[in-house]
Amino acid sequence: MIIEKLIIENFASFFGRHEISLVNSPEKPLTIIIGGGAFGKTSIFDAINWSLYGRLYEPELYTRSERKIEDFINETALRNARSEKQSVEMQCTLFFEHDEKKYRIQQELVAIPNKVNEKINATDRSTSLYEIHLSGNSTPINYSESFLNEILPSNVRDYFLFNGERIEKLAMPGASNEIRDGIYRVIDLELFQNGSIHLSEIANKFRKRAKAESSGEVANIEQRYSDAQERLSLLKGQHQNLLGEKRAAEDQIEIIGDKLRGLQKTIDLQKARDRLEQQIKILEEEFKKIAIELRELSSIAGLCFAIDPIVNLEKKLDEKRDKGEIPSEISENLLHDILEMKRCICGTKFQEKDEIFRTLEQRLLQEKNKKNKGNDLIDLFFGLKAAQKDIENALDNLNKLDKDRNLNYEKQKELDKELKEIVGKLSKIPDENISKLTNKYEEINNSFSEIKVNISHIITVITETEKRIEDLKIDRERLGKQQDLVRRYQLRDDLAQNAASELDRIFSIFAEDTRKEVENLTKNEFARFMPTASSLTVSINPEFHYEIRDQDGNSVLQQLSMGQKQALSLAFITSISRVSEKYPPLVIDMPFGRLDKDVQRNIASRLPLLSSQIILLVLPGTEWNEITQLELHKYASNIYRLEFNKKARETTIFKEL
Amino acid sequence: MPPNKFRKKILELFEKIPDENLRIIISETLDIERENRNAHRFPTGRIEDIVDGVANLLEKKKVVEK
Repeated sequence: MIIEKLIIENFASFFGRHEISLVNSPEKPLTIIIGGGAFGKTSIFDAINWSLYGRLYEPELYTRSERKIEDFINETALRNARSEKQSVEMQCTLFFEHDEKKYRIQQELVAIPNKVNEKINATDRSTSLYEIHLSGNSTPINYSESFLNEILPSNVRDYFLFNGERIEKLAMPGASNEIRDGIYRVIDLELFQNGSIHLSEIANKFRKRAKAESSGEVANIEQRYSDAQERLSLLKGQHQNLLGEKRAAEDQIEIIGDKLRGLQKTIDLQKARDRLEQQIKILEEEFKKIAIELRELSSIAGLCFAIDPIVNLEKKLDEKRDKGEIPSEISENLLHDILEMKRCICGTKFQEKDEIFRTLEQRLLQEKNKKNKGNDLIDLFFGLKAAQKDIENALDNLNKLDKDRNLNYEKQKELDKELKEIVGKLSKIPDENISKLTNKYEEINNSFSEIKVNISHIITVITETEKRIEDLKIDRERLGKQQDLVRRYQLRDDLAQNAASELDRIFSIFAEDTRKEVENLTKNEFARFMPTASSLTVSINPEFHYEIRDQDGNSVLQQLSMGQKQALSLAFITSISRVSEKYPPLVIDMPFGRLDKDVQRNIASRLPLLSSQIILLVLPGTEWNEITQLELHKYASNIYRLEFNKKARETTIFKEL
Repeated sequence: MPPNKFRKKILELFEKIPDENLRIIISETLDIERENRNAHRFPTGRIEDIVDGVANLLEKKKVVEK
């Protein structure tokens, strides 16, 4: 999508009709709109959003400004309408190109000002959408959400059209849900989730019908199968809830930890706690790995009771070989050669019809049979040798892993002890606020540990239930054949449920791949925004939390400056837009407002390379200054300046470039 | 419009679904989900019809095979 033009009429501080061309060349992707505080920059941002999304954008507009859409009608236009006893029209029109087609979308509101009070009665409102043909003619087309979804779905809009406030919010502790939602929404992962939910609902419907139609033994199995499926669905729901609780607890820990890191009396202790908790986390990961390896090895090592019989069997086979009961290749080859040459080793010549030929032929057959038997025994011998070696290796590794596990236990005990000491020191600080924060931190940390245990337990129960369902399926299919209607509903249930499971599987692979890709792009972009912080490693962990580590592996997210945090969230937000491959324009209201000069320079130098169209709404001085001008001017196709007449309360737009 | 990297990835994962019937159900379900992304009343019946349609075809095939 490329925005070409915006027309604003009687919207906010824009009295009358104002046209802003936003066409840019590929090598100069920027349009810069400069305006002081309350001069109308955000109104332009709102006008773009309202043009496209109409009613869908209005709740957000109200939340931010506490103004309904009719309150955005320009004051002068309203005053004139009141004095002339006429209605007033407010319009925002956006011209854009999408997928090689040109469109015009317009939102219009007609209102009549109330004569008695300041109230405005909206009398009519409309949205119109036209496709503009090469000839210049327009064809009206239906404005629908599916049209918007093709261009830029409203629920991902704020990853492309956003302001400085949103950048700041994403950089704050506790933004994991936002990060996850962003990743899920932009590549339509929610469609997979919803599709799976709907298919499961339909499967459930068919299952109920099968149960209702069944009788006797079939009814019994249907009941058990249905109960097991219900339990599984309940467990999966609980699992999702626990994951949500886990994320929320982590967010809380991050927020309180951040507060404790900000206090003079607790900063060192909190940092020490961060370090220890990180070490414990690494140990926990190692424990998990060891547990998996132990499970795998124990099934092989568990065969150690068979080692003695194996060794005995090998001995017996060895003895057989010594005795020649396992034939060598030689006798077979020799007989074969004699038969080929038709001449015995004693020199006697013979023909195929001779007795000796037949005798030798029989002997060769016997040898072959003997050899086949022998080969089996040789294969068995080597198979046993290999098995013996595998079992012995598994036993060795098992012992080694057991040692590692014990060492880890010891390490963990030490770390726990150190952690307790730190918590003790924190709780002894005579400060009510610190004491409250420390207690809260501990409380949430404990519940976080409980949640983790519950998650691990629920995963085990889910696996068991799934296995039970698989077993029940076999009986269900067998018995279902007896009752035709039941079998038909079973088929539909299975199809819907299997399709839901496949969607879940694709969703998981897809979600994880996307997380990794966003993580990678965010990491690279952050390094470009902040070259001085190149020693830091950035990641988005599987729970969708940012993790920033220094060279020693310590978590330093909360030690980042505000500028660095904002650079991080801008890196994330722009990574999301690139991962989506939707390529809409980036419209950013006040991107540099809260950044220091160095960060401004780095970000300004990278911004023009992030999209083929970028519209920046900036404050003069704070944001549009020598540094940003130097980086941005050369990439600008349009520069506009907003002037605000305080007396008339009207904004005028001047084109500077 | 050429399929983007994610659509390609979806297609790849799709091709790995061994059962063609499931592929049909999934692709049509996703189309309905996309069309009704923010719908207040989701047309679940349409997905039910798809499942039913695929099942009917399977049943007919079995009859023919017999």
